[in-house]
Amino acid sequence: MPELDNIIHQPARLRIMAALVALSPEGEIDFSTLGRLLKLTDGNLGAHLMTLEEAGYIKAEKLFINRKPRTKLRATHRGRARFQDHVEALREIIQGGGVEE
Amino acid sequence: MKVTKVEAQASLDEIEDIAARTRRAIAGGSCSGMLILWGAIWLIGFAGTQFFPGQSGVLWLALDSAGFVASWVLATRRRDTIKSGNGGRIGLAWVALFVYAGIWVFILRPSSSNMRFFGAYPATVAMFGYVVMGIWLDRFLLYLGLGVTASTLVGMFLVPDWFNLWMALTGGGSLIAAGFHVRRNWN
Repeated sequence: MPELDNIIHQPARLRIMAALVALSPEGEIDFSTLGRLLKLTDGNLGAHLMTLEEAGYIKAEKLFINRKPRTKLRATHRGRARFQDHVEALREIIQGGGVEE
Repeated sequence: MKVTKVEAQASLDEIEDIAARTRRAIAGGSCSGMLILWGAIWLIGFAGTQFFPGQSGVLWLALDSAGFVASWVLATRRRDTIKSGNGGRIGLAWVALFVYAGIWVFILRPSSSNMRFFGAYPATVAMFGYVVMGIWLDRFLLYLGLGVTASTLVGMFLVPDWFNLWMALTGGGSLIAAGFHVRRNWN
């Protein structure tokens, strides 16, 4: 039975995972592009990304392009699976009309 | 963690909204420029064909050449900040476009002896491309493709003498307006 995920349930992290999972498994997005897309400040985004990375839900790759630092982000298989579980759990709450504790 | 039905629905709505915005961001980088560019080309090309039919061949050759070069510049200038990783799907979209182009040429039978059909063919094939993109990216492009295709067919049969001017205004105008809409709302 799918369960809600405490890490993903936080609103900013839910939005980050929604954006990353919308890309295919080979897809990736820049840190700054993601921040602009989600209207999150760099500090706020960075803190939530760290939590997600520590949980193994995302992978951050730091590299230099034209001597400028860039961070590319993608959802891991584990992150995708946990996100899908979370979405299923939300759907079950709606269908069941109940409250999950 | 306590989650009510209302909160769960709000979360799912948020997820759907973010997913749609992400898909639009994938295409939005160069889509608006392409729409405005090709809208302007249609506007000039079809209006020129209407009023100077003798020079239409040279006009379209010059416009299309400039358009392909400008499209290439737009596509390569775009910063690689988001990758969908959907190469396979894009490949399938191209296959669908070529299949459609093949079937449509058989049905429409464009020829130099029928300039309306000759003009409508590339326009409707390009619009099928927007329909395919719209199915994946955003309903807006789907409706744009269907709308301009319908408008092209209406112009072919209802205003044959003014078909090129009709295409300049409805086709070119729609693409330009759509380009500004995408620029304002997708980024």
